Amino acid sequence: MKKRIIAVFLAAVMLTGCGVPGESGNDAKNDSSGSGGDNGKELTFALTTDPFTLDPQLCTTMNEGAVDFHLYEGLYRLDGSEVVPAGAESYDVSADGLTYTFHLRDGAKWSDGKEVAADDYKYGFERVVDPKVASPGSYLAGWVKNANKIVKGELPLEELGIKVIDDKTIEFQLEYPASYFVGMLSTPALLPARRDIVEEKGKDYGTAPDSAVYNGPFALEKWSKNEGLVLKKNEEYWNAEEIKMDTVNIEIIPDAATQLGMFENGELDYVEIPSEQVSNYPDAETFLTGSVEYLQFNLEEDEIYANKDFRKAVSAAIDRSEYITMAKGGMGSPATRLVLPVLTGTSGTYGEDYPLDLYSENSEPDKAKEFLASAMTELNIANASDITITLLCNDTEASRKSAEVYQEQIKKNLGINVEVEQIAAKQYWSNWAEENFGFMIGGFSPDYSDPYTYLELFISDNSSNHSNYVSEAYDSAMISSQTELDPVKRYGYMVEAEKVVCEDLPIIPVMCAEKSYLINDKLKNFTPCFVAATYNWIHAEIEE
Amino acid sequence: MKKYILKRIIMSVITVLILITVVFFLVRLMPGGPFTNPKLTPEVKAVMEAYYGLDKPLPVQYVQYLKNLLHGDLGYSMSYSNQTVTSLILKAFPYSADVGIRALVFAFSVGIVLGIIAALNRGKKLDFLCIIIAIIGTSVPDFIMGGILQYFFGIRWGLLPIAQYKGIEYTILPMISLGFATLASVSRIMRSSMLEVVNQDYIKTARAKGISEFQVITRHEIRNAIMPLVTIMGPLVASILTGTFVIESIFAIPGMGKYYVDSISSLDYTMVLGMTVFYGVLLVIATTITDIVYGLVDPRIRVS
Repeated sequence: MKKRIIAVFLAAVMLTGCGVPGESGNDAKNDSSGSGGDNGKELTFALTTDPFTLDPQLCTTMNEGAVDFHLYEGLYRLDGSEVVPAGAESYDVSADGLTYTFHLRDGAKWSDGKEVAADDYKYGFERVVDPKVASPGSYLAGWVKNANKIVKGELPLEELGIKVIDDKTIEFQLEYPASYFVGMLSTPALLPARRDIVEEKGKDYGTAPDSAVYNGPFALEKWSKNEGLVLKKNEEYWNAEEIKMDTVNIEIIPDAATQLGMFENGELDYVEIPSEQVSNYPDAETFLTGSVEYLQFNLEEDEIYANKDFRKAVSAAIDRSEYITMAKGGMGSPATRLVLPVLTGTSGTYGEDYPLDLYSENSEPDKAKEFLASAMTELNIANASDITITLLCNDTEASRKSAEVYQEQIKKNLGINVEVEQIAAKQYWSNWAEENFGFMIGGFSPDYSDPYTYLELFISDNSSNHSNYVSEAYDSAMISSQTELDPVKRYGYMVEAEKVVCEDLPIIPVMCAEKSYLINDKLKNFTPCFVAATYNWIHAEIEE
Repeated sequence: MKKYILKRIIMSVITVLILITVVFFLVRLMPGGPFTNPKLTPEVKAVMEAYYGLDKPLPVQYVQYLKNLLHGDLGYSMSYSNQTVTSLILKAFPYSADVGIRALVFAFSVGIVLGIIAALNRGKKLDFLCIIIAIIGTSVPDFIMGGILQYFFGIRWGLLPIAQYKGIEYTILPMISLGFATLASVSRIMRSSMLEVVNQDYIKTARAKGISEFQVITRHEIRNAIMPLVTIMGPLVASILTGTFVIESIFAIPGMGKYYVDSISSLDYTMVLGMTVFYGVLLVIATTITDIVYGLVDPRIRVS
């Protein structure tokens, strides 16, 4: 009797254990490793986490952005560092630079065959500013007339400065002549949405392949939670003949070392190398992730942080290239300015058009001590050892490591006391937002490819200016840049502002983060990006 | 027996209720909140908090949560926009359970056999071999075991897939990595329990009655020696079924392990609570079943 019970139990266990959950039955053809067959030309790579959502107006991460970037077509598209016509063929600008009229492309269709209409674009913007939707990307639409007031609930949605002239024409009223916004139109939050589909699907919108329609170069075919996504070429796409890949498999592989193993086995076409493994792949290519890391002061927290000479002393005490080697495994380039130099400039990149080399790669101990001496005189401090500053970092391994390197460098070169305070990662940014810090490790990734994305953070009344930095010279240069219509003059104002903030140092730029990657030799034009989306595979092709 | 089971069930419900209450308030004591993306504007943050009811006083939220729970509603996840906790768990659980069951079957079947072999060959070479396997199993962490298996079977020899969960061949490496530690402890428990049984009077009686050695071992020794294993099985089943973060992560299995860790680090309150409820209920069911099975296997317990 007892034996039989155990036997039955074991047999039951064995039986249930035979198949594999999910759609394993027909998985032979979904196997990502094989090329050819039903899937045509295939590209396979991996992300470490599943997208939280693919609703463009709700997504928050650059990986989600990368998928949406290929599923939807904005009016214009940021393709590399170029802004190219996409859903619209052209646009007109009014003389004051405050009204933009876009002319939509004829024959552009959604994946269900319906023609793309101007209202689809308007609806995307309505969703992003609608307080009921609570889009985390609402701040990205701030340049549209009345957008910020609608987000705050001060004006009704109808007041949004976007007008549908006819099915193929849409007009934008701007808050100020923000000419850079055309390059933002492929940012996920500003992508179009279909009113009928969103209303029909409700909360399910963007959570499964059949709960949305797509007007981009690819359409979502399959999405298994935490397992992977399959994108198929969208045959309805207006430029479908230029799309070379038939299938894009995005596997979800949380462990970076596992990804590397799969790449070496030929199961992935592209892989990012975890920083501790970078030294094993000296020939790997690198790219800028877009993130600029800096040390941030809160000028109102303490009189020592409010002292400019003290901040200059800290900046001179930091050895940027040693920091990158010791804390980042060499994955970064020393920052010589605040703004990421690869952003769009007037003719080439911003860094090429307006080079700035304000900070030394290595520490300058003599200079640092001089600045410290004058700071101490100004503040009536007798000994350097009387000064104690606290560097805030979060509880991740990487952040702790960074803080220790900074601590060591500042201690060594200035002779002051540096304490490191670690707090939970989730509390970290709340502390920042509530200005509950004096000195912390910060950073910023651009939202669009224009220097303004970095520079607006330090305008005295900007809501993200948690340094409490106030400079008349800076504000006036930035305000001039907002209304200037001539691009060269506008960039001139921005560089002027950048010089001011880099001299005043409410933040100390340290490095531009980099990543190293390996790629299948046959795969061409799969490019990592630094803004809004992590990758661009629109032009990707596999050579035979 | 009926009264015994009823009592156990009532106790279980109370246990789960206490668990929910403690976790509900503890997770709120953690610094920070679920919406701390530095780029989020204060207005949007306020709307999101209102959407999830986080703007109401904590006791009100608690009562509301319990009310919803009575309808089987675990709420919407705060990180996975517009997806219910229930739907996320139901998608992930089969994977975790699948790996877990395979690992359990592997651990118990191989572990019991090794334990018996060791006990029957006490002090001989085979016993030492089993000891070595057990030492490796208990001392090598599962993620190292997983990495080594991946390297040899996946990369070096190309015999088995490195990761993912798409067919029977994908299940072998995770099963071994996850089950190995359990296998080791099962084999040790089985061995000592066998040795204890061997010296009992009823075994001597059986031998004296002239029963063949094979029958003595299978009918009397193993059957009695297996008892202690039933005790450890309950909690083990619950913990192994609900997935392990590390194994699921290195083998890219879309199970629940990830939610345990991620929901806490991202302070996804509804997900943390959902996982707690799910795990708690599962654990309580597993221990209750163990108790009942125990009573079936050993009549002495039923009587007392």
